[in-house]
Amino acid sequence: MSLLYSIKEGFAGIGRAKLPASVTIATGFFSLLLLGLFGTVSFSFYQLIHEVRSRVELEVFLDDRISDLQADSLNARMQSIAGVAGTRFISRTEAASRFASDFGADVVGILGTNPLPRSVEVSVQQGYTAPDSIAHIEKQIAALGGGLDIRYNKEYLRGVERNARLFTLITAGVGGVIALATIILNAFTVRLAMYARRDKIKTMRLVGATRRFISAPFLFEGIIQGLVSGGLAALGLWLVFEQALLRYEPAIYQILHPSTTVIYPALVALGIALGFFGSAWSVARFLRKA
Amino acid sequence: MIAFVNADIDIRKKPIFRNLNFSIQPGELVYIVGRSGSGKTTLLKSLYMEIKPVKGEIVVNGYSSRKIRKGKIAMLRRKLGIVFQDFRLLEDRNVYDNLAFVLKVTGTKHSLINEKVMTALKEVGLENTAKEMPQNLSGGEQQRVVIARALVGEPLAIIADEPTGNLDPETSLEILEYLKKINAKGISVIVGTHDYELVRHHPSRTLMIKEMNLVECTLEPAPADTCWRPVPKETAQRPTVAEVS
Repeated sequence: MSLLYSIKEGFAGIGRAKLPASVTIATGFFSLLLLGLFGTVSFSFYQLIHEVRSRVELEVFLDDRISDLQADSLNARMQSIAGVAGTRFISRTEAASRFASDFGADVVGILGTNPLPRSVEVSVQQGYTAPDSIAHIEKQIAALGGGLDIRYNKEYLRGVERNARLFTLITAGVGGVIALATIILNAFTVRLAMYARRDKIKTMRLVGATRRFISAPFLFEGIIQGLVSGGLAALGLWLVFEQALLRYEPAIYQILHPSTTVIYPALVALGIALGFFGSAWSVARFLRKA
Repeated sequence: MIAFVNADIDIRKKPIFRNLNFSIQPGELVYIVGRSGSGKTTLLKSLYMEIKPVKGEIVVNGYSSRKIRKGKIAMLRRKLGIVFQDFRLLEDRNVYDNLAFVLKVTGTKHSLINEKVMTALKEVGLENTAKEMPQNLSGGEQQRVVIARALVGEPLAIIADEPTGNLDPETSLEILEYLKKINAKGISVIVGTHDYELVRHHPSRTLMIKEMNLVECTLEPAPADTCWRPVPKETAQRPTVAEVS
């Protein structure tokens, strides 16, 4: 049995059973489009949460009694702590100029002296932005000694974490239901289409066709149908984002757009996988009975 | 070529045959007769290993029901041409493709397929229907296509299960003529039928199903059929099992 025969028969099978093939493709298209829309929105929100988390920084204020040499040493030791992405030393002068740009007033001009302390801004690596991880980094910095005053927005971080957890639960639940519905719907549509051909499968068995000879064209048929339904779902999603959203809701488009580059190929791959496994499952069932 | 040795056959745990012992030699034309529901189809199914005996052994073309693996059943069926009462043609392809499918299954070279298909169709007088869809043909023509499909793979035996069951008496005789023509070429033909009239018209070795076994019969034109003896156990010749699965 040649590969070419199986591919040709796969296409011919769609031609011979246009209605079941159309129903299978339409079912795949709608379910994958729904999954794609949900996936894009979920994926974009994950990226948004990730972006918010990556902005978390610890601000470490140095004691006035610490010498510049000691300050440099502390800065270097902070950099070597696990989970720290980088540090930036802020001198008194830089702190004053920041104050001036933030509040529009020269603190030295008003007070006659610069009371602002030296500090180190500590940025955190991606995997260490959870409240527990940051608290651990905070402890390690405090352990360096030298009367360090460590500050970061704990409430904000907790809020982000709380919402992220809730969002994960909701998307996992809803996404799981949609994914399961997509798989079941597609599998049973393929099976229904195959059911109409059970006599044909039986006849093929009786004239001496092997299981592989019978199933290979059906598997290719499933792959072709999955490719078409996945491709159409990707096209539908492209129309929603690149045409409708870009024109009428450009702000939402900006948030969602980066995710679609992943979702388009994922939909096609998922379509192919659903077509292949759906057909394999159905043919195997009918072959067992034939 | 075909041997049943002490074979018990059940369907869903219900005994259908007990202690079957008989053999069919190459080139024989054998009728399996019996009332509807007596087990003709079950017996024929056991020849192409769709049903296996619960006890004993069936040997067909060297394939033993005891040892045959699932994958080898397809190989056995390629050496048997099967004819059904309800035709079982692939209705989504034309007559030519129905026959060509059998050859593709066996990996026949593309260049030989056309010649073999047309020869088989000529054998049954249907060379002009190659492009027709099966459902556009009459019942008799469809059955002739089925016979051509059974022939195209150059089988050692043809198994026909009520081949005339859906046909009028005249067409039935015509179909039997084709089967006899095939048999004359040395191909064994086993016909399951309840049409005793047909058997009387073309007499040959006849096995009647009686009390879960087979008895040799002569169907006389007289009102009562004469079934003179059960098939004795010793007549069952067990061929060499060439295929070790």
